[in-house]
Formats: sequence, C-alpha cells, structure tokens
Amino acid sequence: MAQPAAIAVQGLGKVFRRGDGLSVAALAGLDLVVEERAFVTLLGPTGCGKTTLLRILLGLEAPSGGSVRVAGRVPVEGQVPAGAVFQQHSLLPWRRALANVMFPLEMRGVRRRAARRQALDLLRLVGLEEAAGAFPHELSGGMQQRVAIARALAHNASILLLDEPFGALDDRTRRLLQAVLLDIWESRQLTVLFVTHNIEEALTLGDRILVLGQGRILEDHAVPLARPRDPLSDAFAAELLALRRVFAAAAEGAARGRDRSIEA
Amino acid sequence: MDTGRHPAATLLRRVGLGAIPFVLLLAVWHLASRSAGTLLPAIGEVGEVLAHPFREPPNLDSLPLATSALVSLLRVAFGFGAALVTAVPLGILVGCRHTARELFLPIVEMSRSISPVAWMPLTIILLGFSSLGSVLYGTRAWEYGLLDQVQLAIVAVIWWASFFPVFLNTMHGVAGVRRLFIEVALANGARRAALLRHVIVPAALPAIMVGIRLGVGRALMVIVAAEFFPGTRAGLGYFITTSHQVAQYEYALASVVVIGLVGLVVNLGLYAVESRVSHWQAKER
Amino acid sequence: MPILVRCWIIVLAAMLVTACGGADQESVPAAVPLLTLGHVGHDHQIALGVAALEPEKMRQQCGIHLQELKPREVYRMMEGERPIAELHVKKVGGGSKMPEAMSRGELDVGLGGIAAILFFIDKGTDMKLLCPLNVDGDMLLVQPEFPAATWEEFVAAAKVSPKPLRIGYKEPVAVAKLIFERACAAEGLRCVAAGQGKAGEVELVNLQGEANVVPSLASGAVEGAVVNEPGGSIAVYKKAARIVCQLSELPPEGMWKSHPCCGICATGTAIANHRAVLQRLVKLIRAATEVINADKERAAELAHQWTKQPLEVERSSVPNIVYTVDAGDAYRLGMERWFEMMRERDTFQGVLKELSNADAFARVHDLSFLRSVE
Repeated sequence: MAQPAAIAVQGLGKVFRRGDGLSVAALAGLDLVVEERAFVTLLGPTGCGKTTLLRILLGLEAPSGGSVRVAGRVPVEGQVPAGAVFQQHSLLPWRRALANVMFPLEMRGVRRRAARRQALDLLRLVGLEEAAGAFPHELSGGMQQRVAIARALAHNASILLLDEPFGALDDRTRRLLQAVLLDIWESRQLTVLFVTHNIEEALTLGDRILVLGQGRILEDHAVPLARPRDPLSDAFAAELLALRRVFAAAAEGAARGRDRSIEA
Repeated sequence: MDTGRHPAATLLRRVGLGAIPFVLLLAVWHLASRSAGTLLPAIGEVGEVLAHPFREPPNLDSLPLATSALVSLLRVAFGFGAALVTAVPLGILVGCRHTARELFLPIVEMSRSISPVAWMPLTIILLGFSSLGSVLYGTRAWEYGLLDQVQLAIVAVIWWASFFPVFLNTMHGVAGVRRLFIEVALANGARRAALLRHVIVPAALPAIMVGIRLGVGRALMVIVAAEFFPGTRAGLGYFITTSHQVAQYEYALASVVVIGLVGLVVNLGLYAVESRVSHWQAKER
Repeated sequence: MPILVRCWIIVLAAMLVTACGGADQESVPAAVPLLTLGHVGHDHQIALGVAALEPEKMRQQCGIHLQELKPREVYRMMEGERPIAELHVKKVGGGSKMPEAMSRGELDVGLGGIAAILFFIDKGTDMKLLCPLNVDGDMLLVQPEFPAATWEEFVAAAKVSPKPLRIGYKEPVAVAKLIFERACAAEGLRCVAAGQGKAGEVELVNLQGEANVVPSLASGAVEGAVVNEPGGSIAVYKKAARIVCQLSELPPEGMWKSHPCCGICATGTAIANHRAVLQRLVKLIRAATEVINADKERAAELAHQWTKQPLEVERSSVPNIVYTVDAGDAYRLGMERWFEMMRERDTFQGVLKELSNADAFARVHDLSFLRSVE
C-alpha cells in the first residue's frame, strides 16, 4: 500500500437510543478520507452529526458499524494519535495555562522538566508565553483557545482534530486565531480536520470542504483558491456564494431526511 | 466593597466592627456576674484560669487547660482523619458508580440524622477504654504521654460526626464533575485509571473542601459531648463536664472560650486552604 | 488535595510528638501481675487516695504500700521491698459506669456505690464485694433562705406550705432518694413525682445527675435536694444550699444508721487468680481507713489532693462520711435493707430476685480476704 491516509472512515454508522426508546441514526454510512498534510473543513448545520463523527475519531464514542482509522489505527479512548481542540471552556480550570498544556505530556510519562520546557515552547508558538501562570478563568476566550491549541499540539501528533474551536469568539479574534492555526499547520506540516458551521470560516481555512448532512458526506468540495486567501477578493466572494448554495441544498435535504432517519 | 480606602484603615474598620459584639458580650457578662447570689463566675476568675494554661487546675481533677486542648485536638484529628480516609474514597466510589449509590444511599440517609452522641453507649460497650496508646503499647500505654487519652470510643464518635458531611459532599462533588472535563482528559491521552487522580479528584476538590470544613466543625461541636466518657482524664469537654459536676464553673467557661478560639483558628485555616483549592470554581461559569 | 493532606500530616505529626513524651521509665518485671482498678473519683473512696499519697505511713501501718509510677494512675504495690502487683488506677465516674466496666472485663477491681454493684451482680456480672468502704454520707439540702434548720422544721414547713415542696434527687436509684421517700412516708408526708398532678406535700424532681444540683438550687428550680457527699458540701461551698440533716438520722428511728454506701468489689477471675494481691489490697485499704479516721483534718487535705475538690469542700465533706471496712452486724442489716428495697421496687430481675436475704448476702460477698486480715 502507498502512503496511508491520515484519517480513513468507511461506511461509518452510529445509532443512539433516545430516552423514549426510539433509535436515532446520527451517522449513516459515512465515508471519509483525509490525506496526510491536508486541511479539511467539515461543514454542516447543527445536529448533523459533526460532533458525533469527531467523538468517534477521538475514541470517545464507539461506532455502531463501519470502520475507522486514525493514523492507521482504530481509535481507543486515551490513546488517540491526534490532538484535539474542543469548543469553549475545555481547559481544566484547576490547572494553570502551562499545566494544561503539560497535561498530555504528563499522561505520556514525559519527565516533568522536559514537559515544562516543551509546554513553554508551545505556549510561545501560540503567542501566550507570558500567560503561562494564569488560570483559565483569568484568560479571555481567545486566549483560552490558544492554550487549547497548544495543548492539542503537545500530543506531538501530526493530526489535529478541531470541533468548532472559534465558534464563540468575536470576528477579529477569530481571524487572528485562524491565522495562527494556518501558520502552525504549515510550519508543522500537520493534517487538520476542522469542524465548523460557519461557511466563511470553512472557506478561509480548508483545502477541501466536506458538507455533512443526513449522517453522511453530501458534498466533497475542493477549494480552488490559493493561499493566503483574501476574504475581500472577488474570487473569495464568488466561492462563498457557490458554497452557500451547496450548503443550503444540503441543509434542506438534511431537514427532510431527519424524519426518515427516525425509526421505531 | 471597601474600595478606595487605605488598606490599613479598612483592616482596622473590619477588626473594630468585629470587636463590638465581644465588648457587648463582656459587658453583659460583667454586669450579670455582679448580681447577688449568682453562680456565674466573674470575668477575672475565668481570665485567671485562661492565664495559666499550663498549670494543673488546683480545684479540678484534670490535666492543665493547654494539655486538655491538645488532647481534644488529638481526638478530633484522629476521628476526623479516620472520617477523611473513609468518607473520601467511599464518596468517590458512590459518586462514580450508580450501583454503589443505590447500595449505600438508603443506609446513609437513615444513619446521618443519628446524633453521634447517641452511639456513646454502644461505642463504650464495643470499644471499652481501649485507646490509641493501649492498642500500640498495651498495658504500657501509660508511659506514652497522652496517647492513652485518645480513646477509640471517642474517636469513633468523632468519626461518625464528621463522616457524613465529607462523604455526602464528596459524592455530590464527584457526581457533578462535568463530562466535558473527562472527555477532554481522555482526548488528551488520559487512561481511565488516570482520570481519578487528574480529573475527578481535582474537579471535586472544592466540594470535598466544603465537606471537610463542615466535618471539622461538627467534630469540634461533638467533642465536648464525646468527652463525657468513663476513663477520661483530659479534654476540653471533660473540663466542662467535670467542672459542672463539682460546680467550678470558671473552668467550664474558660474551656468554652478555648473551644471558641480553637474553632476560630481552625476555621480561618480551612477557609484559607479552601480559597486556594476552590478559587477557580467561584469564577468559572 | 496535596496541600490539605500535607497540612494534616504535619499537624498530626506535631501533636503526636508533643503527645508522646518520656517513654523511658524503667519497666516492671513481667512476672508481677497487673490489676486494673476503677473508682468514681470522689471522697467516698478516699482510702485508695490515702494509700497512694501516704506510702510511708502505710508501710509502717501494715507493711504494704503503693509506689508511685505515674501520679494517680499507675502504682506498684509493695510488700516491704518486694513488688506484688502493678495497679492501673482509672477514674471511671459515678453511677453504673464502674460495674459496667467490670462486666466488660476492663476492670479487675472496682471501688464504688454498692447499689449499682448489686444491680450488676443481679444482671449476671461475675463479681463479689470484698468489703465496704464507707457508710452514711447522705444529706438533705435546702436553699439558704429556706425556713428550716432541722428535719422536724422541714416536716412542719412541708405541711404548712401552700404548694408541694420540690426536692431534687440525682438519679432514680440513688440511695438518698430511697431513704428520703421512706422517711417522708414515716412522717405522713406524701411524695409525688413531678408532673403527675397528684396531691402531696413533697414533689420529687429528677435532676438528671449530680452536676445539676447546684444550679437547680441556685435558680430556684427546687427548694431542696437529697444528695450524697461531697455533693452537699459543694452546694454549701457554692452558697447555693444549707444542710438540714444527715439522712442517717431520719425516721423510722435507727433504720438508716450506718447504711452501706460504697464498697470494693473484684471480678470472679481476679478473685480466682490474684488472691494474694487482693488480700494485700484489702489489708492496705483497711489500714488506710484507720489512718483516715485517726486524723480527719489530714484526711480532708489528702482528699483534696486526690479528688482535686476545693479544700473547703473536703473539710466539710470528709467528717460527714463514716469510713469503715467493718462488715459486721450493722453492715449486714444495712445490706438486707437494700435487698428488701430493691426487691420491692422490682430492681432485681436476675440471680438475686428469688434469694433470701441471707443467701443474697452470701451470693454478693467474698469476705474471706477481710477475715484474713482482721
């Protein structure tokens, strides 16, 4: 086999049993391949199964059917070969910023002094060296997410999974962090799977945009824009408009399909 | 609150305000103790006892006041320590496991309203006069200072008093740990076994601290009653009951003052620790 | 967590270091038997205190003395220069606490109230009285301004009082209460329990313990109280009461003279295994009792040192107590009176219930030690 894909998902299904006894299919026959060093954004409306997919990739949820490989391995909780950034407030509040970044290193058994040095380097990378001693509640939302990115990088994995990490930030901060993330992706030659419901963000960041709906990939959209991308350029505006149409169609299909996906 | 003031002035004001009730109390006490035929000892008599904490009380069958306070603290420390090492693990287990909760909650709910003092007859029957000293050194316990005054029956009563606040708060703290923290830890390379130490305990620590503070408070409240125990020779509670029996009330009041001071110091200390381990919780949304 | 655990360990360690001081006393040869001895801690059992505080006098008096290893707690019993036993002395407290500890096997020898000892023997505790310690020592107290200085005046006051006189007692089986009730009946005074709503001249109030006698008198909750020493002397010392009379003087004439109060008892195991030690102990206590009676002023001082009651209290209390180890006819009659009264009140439910007075007396005593030293 040639170089394996960073993330390979085939026929993935996930059924949840609701409190009333009905089963709900969150994912139904989802196929997904993310090549090494790609930046893929996963776009979908709320409740389309984006978070479920990410949780399965992180080993936090067991699939009901199909196969999943992350860096060639079946994901098992606690041993995922990928860093992860969650939505807001995911830092452990009783640990200072530095200790949060050290967490994955400690879990891997890295010696304290080495872990400290690495964590400081990572904080410097996200531009937060001076906030190392601060507790999460003393940091702004944007700073917290920078720490979260540094922590995800501390895995020292080449794959980064992000679940709407900038969803709660204001526009300016979000742009700033997007730039930071792109820098890191490039300089560290990472593979990134980035989940968002924001079309503009998906377009700003991704090489490919996967539109998710009805529990599977509805569209696999290659972005023809060169980097760095200028959101004020005509080409960007044209792409955005095209993408909005795709997304709207997908969202509508998903809404229709949701009723069908509920079975007794 | 007191913004814009000089810190020293603020401190002075706070201390000054806090002193007013004490002054009033002392004034009322002074007046009451002057009325004819009262048994209430004068402030000076109580002060006299307090001023000689290391002297064997001439008219009371007890060790000195300071020794008595130390004995009480030893009993509280062992009883509370026993509560800590039993209630925290059990609280964590019950907080994590639904079956454990169903197993234990009925008996806990039934037991926790039983006053610790209600167990005194039973603890005496079961444990007798045995003490930490007699367990460690047998009949030679008397050679080992105050250890023979740490009677297991008293320790057991203190244990009962402080167990439930610690246990229940630990349980609720653990049960209330946000799922997100656990998932974040798992996604960041923590194995299940590491969760306890790195997520569950630190996340529940503020709740456990509240339990500890309440537990110590209850232990200090109960020690007075628990020291009404045959074979006891010292302790603040023993000081009170004995002085009551022989109508030497100035000793009882001195002992009350010492208990209050001990409570004050212990509480301030616990608040300080609590603010260190819990500061993140108040500000977290 | 770490901070807290660390703090706690430091505190505990510090206290332990302070608590364990001086464990370097010379140890006793293991061959000497060890007996644990419990007492109530007031001046009825002061014979033990005198024996402990006056070793020289004891040695002269009877050849046996107590060598102090830890004041008021650990003594070595010596016959001449030869150690016979190590005694661990425990202040156990009044009421049933001493016989209760005997029944648990935590005490080998007990000094305390005879009524409670009888109660536990009846319940099946394996122990026997070796000799009495004291008789009498119960009294009637009234508030200082109460208009009665003698029993006759008290009876008269009760009869003319518009409402019943409230008289406190420390516990339902207290000897003082039993005597007082009988004496009232002999004078034609009706005793009623508080709250019963029956007509009577005297209302008896359970004060739930000796400790409440002084505050109850001082606050006027009761007009008087029947107590045993040193409770009476404490109340007088605190200016909360005046002594009306000793209960041993009450009617029916002569019935309460020399009523047994406290005694020494030993468990069956101790009697079987430590006969020599018990015999020496009875000898010592007997000698100490003689020392007390020879100089009650000095005895009061020793009582003060031993019980830590104020000296004024003991100066008043000790002379009111009759110290004797004599188990002769007066004692036998007194005991038989207790048997009858306890049977009457259905206090006996066990081994003593069906026995005659003579059989019960034989059942609860082992006077062989006393006889051997007399």
